[in-house]
Amino acid sequence: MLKRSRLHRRILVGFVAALGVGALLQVTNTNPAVSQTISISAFELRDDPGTDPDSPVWNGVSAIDMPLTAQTGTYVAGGSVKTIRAQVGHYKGRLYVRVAWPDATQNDSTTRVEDFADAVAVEFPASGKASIPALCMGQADSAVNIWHWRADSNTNSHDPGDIYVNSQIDKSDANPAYYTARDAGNPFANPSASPVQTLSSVAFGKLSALNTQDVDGAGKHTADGWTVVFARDFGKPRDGHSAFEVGQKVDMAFAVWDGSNGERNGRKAVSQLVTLRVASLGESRDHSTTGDRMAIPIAMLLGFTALAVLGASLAYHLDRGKR
Amino acid sequence: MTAQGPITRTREDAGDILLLIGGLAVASTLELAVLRTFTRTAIHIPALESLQTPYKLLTTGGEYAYFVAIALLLPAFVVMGVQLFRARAPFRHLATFGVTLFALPASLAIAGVVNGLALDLGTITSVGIVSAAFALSVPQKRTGVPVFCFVAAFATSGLYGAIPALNDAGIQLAQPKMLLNAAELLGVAYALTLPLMLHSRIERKDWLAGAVAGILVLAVFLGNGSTSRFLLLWNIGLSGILPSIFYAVAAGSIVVSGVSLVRSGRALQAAGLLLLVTGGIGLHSTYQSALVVAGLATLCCAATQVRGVRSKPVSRSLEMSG
Repeated sequence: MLKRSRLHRRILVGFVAALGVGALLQVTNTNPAVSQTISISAFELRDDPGTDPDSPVWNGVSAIDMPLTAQTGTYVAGGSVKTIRAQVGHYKGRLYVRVAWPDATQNDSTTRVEDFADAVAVEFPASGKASIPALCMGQADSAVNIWHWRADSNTNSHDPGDIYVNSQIDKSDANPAYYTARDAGNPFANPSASPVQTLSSVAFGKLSALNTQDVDGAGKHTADGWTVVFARDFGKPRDGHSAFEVGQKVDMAFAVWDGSNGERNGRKAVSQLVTLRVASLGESRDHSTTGDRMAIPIAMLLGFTALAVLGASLAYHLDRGKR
Repeated sequence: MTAQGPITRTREDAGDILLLIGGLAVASTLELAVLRTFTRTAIHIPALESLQTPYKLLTTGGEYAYFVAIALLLPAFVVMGVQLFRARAPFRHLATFGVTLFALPASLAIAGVVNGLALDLGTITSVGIVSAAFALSVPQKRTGVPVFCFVAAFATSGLYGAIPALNDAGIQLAQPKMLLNAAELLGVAYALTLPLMLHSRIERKDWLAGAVAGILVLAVFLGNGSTSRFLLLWNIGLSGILPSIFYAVAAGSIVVSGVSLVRSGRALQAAGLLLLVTGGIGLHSTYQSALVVAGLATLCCAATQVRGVRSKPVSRSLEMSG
């Protein structure tokens, strides 16, 4: 009885301590966990790649392939693109993200109501940090910053007369009143605006364009599919905008829309969050850090030790079995 | 009289471990259900604005469960390490070595001393070693089949995630997508082969619980398969390439096995298997990897206890003393 009560007391003390430590960690926002998701390093690029998807600067930059899975929101189907390839780098305080994905059709016109554009988006937490567990489309108290590129904005608006060839349309390039959407400030109707919109989201249906549009980008379609480059200055923390700095680790996720499959809004393919590491100036894959250099021999040593221990244990087990 | 001391201590240790691991399993399950599933789904409710207060309360509760699970992980590792070291099982050193192999680089990574690659490779090796210790410890080899499937899934998915870090370190490797597909198949195989761990007959109540879980999962997948697969990828690390029925049967199999284990007095094994589910497949964070290593170490502890009961005459008095 006495022993049982001692056991109960130990358990009670242990649980109260665990609940207390948990509360302390939460109140002080101390999260000791470290992210182990796929990481992609943005090394300093040897030259400015600009927004040209074919820039030779990207030739020496390693890429990661991200599996995508479908998300439909309130629609049915979607998510026909299975993988996206990403490369990142930085040059003179500017972050570059280059993504490529297979897409046989070039859907860059949304003039007809039944047409939808190919598109891609990159998402960062607005806080500019890596969170565990990761946020998806934001939480009530944590917004995400989304860079959204659309093929129709990239191509600029198509002339309706090219599609409805028998139509007669009153228009005048000199008079903005003929372009009602553009005149009303719709960014998708403005040919001089960037094809990339920077958005903020805290929940479904809470996606809104930010007042400052500061992300540049361009895309190109070939027989292999689309290649799109995003570019933005590191910037400083502002409401809804992610900021970047050398040495920083931040979550990053991708979403892809295939216009020919009728994909738009929540009907898309999304990736897991990866960890973007903005590498130090001068650091490159060829000149890896001490940690990188040490990791391989340490890992090999661990591996060999593990194999040796495993082998010895197996031999002991088999030997004992024979006896 | 001389035998009573160690027996009592073993009994108290077993009670401590069960409650510690049980508490960890409950906390991590709550975290998975609320933080990783509910908040990621509720954010898509259009009427969320009018439900801000309950949503924030639940999110805070989920975060609390997450921090409590973290607070329980450290003592769980210490207690299990001591238990494994003291147990008279032949592979206790192997298991303790495996747990240390994760705990050491994870602690150094938190301190910022080692980078992601060393941590990733240490985690994968650790999971392999602890599971090998488990497979070698169990007398019935079929019991090791689901654990082998889980570890193979974890290793293939983890290797896919570690390849970019290897590339950064100068080892150029391709990222074959088949690794992810293999991880998916092995992950589902883990769930489907779990009944092999059962030593007792599956009763009607167990089947019923499994059927309810399976039907529920099937309904969720058929209702909105894409969002379900999306959560599967983000929470468990599976990209959802298989038809919905596979995930429904897998969920049913997990529940049947868990309920049957608890009913037959093997709650520690059930808690270990649950930790593998909440930890997920592949590399996500040191938190989820710690759950996986803790789950495998729990299975080792359970195996040494079972072995102890079978082989040591002294354990008979332990049974009777209860």
